[in-house]
Amino acid sequence: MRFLSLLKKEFLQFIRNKGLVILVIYFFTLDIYLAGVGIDLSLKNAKFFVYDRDMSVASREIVSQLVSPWFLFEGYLQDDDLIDTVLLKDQAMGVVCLPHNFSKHLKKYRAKIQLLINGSEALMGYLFSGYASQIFINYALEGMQKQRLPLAEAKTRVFFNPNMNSRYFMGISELLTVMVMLVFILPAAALVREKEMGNIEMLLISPLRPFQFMLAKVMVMAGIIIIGVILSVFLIIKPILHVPFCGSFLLFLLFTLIFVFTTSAFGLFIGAVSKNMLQVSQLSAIVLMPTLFLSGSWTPIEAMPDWLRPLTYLSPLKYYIDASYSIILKGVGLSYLWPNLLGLTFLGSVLFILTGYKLRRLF
Amino acid sequence: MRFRQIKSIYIREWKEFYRDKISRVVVFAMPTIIMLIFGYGLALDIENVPMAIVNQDKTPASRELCYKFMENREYFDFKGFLPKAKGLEHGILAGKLRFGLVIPPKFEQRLKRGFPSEVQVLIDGSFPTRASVSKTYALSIINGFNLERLSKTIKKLPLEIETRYWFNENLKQRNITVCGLIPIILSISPTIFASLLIVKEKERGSIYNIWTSAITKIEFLFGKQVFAVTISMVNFFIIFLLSILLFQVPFKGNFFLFLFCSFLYILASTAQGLLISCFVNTQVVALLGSLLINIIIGFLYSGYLVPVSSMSKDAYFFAHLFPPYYGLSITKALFLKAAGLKIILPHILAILIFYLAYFGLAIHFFKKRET
Repeated sequence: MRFLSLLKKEFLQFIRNKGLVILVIYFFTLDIYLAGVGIDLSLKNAKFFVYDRDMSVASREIVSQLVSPWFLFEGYLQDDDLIDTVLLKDQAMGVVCLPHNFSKHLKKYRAKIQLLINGSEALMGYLFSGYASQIFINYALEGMQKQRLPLAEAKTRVFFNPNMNSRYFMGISELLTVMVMLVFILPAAALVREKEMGNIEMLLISPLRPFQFMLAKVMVMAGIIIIGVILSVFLIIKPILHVPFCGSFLLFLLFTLIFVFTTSAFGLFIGAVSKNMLQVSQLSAIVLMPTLFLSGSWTPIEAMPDWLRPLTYLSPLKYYIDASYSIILKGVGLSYLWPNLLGLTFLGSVLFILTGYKLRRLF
Repeated sequence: MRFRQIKSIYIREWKEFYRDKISRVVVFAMPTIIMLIFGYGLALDIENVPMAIVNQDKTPASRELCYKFMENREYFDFKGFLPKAKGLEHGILAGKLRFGLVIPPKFEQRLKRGFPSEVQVLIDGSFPTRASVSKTYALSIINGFNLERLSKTIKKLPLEIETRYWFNENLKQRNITVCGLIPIILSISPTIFASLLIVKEKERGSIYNIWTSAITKIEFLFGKQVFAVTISMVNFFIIFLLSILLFQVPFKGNFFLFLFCSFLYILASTAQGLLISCFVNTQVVALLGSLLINIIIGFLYSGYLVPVSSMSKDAYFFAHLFPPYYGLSITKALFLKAAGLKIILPHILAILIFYLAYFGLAIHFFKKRET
């Protein structure tokens, strides 16, 4: 009974902070929508200019090969200096330069095309040059001989996300990021708030056991976050971002439950260590960034420096995120994922016990 | 505005800051740690893609193609040959491989008879950017293989493509991810700091002292801002030095111009924090709100990951509504392009306008009495 009223108190405390409720709802809906819809990490509408000193049929034709949705032709440049200006001002991703007598040289097999790429957008710059060279080479090969040449042709098959649609990726990774952020900050803030308001003294002299106190906070915060996750999956991720949810939603929920429950205990740990919100904000950022980072939610593990890779096994988030991507995109079942389940449960329990110990000393 | 009032607010904040041991360290540690983590970790350079090959042909031609992939240590991390395509699929499903090449039987035979011959490329699409880049790598390797063979048998290609990367000759992604962090960090950390400076007084109730004192709104807000700017400028120097000394990003532009722009940018960020603090009453909301506004905009709508010029119309417009886009443009222009004042002047003006607008609005909305 005592425990129930504590639960009720925690819940009311959350609900009454209107600003916080609005923010949390925003995080789980619009924020994920913005991240998923707004940004496309593939090469799209890459603007380019052409500096054509030949102005022949051939030169125009080769430029016309760069088409949308990948490329966007912005116009011809009349002057050398303008190349510098458009690249300096980020008005274009690249400039295609065609020399004098391009069409004549093309017939004599020694034509030259220059691609000047804006290197301050490295990733897109690479994709730009890769796609453009591909297109030019294919064009030249087609022009060479009418019949098909003995070439090795690549047939690509992309798993799990055939169109390499970055919406899926951005949507899911934003959901995970938001979740982790709230998992750390909400419980920590709830505890520090009690400290700053002086309520903590009342709790300390009440006949509550530290474990009950911790459990109540964790349960309410975890509950709120779980509801948020369900909301965003059914309101945003599935219907609007059209992420194909291949695996079982219940399995995903099971992983989420274990993750949120154990990690929000760690949020309480941050709260127990901090004296005020400034400390909470900075400490949780310090913990949050590496945890997110080491989890492979933004970049896969193999892209990290060698010395960082072993550390990733210490992040409970890694097991959770691995499992989530596998369930959502690959439709993998528990038979593949039991190591993740074990790792997550183990690391989570360690965090939980650590926090319990710290809180007992607080009491 | 009276100087004495501003000074007393400033000194008071210093005292409070000095007495709070943990904050004192942590405030400077946060930007440093973000810088280290992202600088080392946010590897947008796509390297070490774990790959395996299934070679069912076992002829000179197929082996040559395999070597072309295996030689490429920069992009691919060759894990070994597999007997069957099923094994590749299994590896990708288990997350152990991200890329696979299948060379079917009769690969060479078809080529020798003058027909095109197909190879299969399997890619893990769970990281779409990496997938599309590794696809481009694969196609260019296969292209190289084709051109080499063609030059032996028929003729060479009628055209040659020369690619040059401006501003970043080796196309080092790290240069950009690191220097781009400066405006992002400077939009997050000063905003949080400034907003907490005011909201903590609201939450503790010490704001009543301000309400009943003779200090004016402008003096109060300005005093807090000056303090937030002082702390943030220290952070600016820390992250600037880290990016130059530790990450060895070449700084090509004028340092004093950059210093001035960063100062202005920090003014705008702290003013944004002050503005946020007018609308919220608890520190957790101030913190989450500042993070919310600045993380998404800083990383996604500033041109950090995707160039603003190739965004959709709505996103392009949206990006222009917040300072990080301008800050990032200035940073890139000064770090990588050694651009002059003339190029970045419009961006500087934009940031100045943001500052005046944020600060003006903060003064307008800040209430110096109970409502």
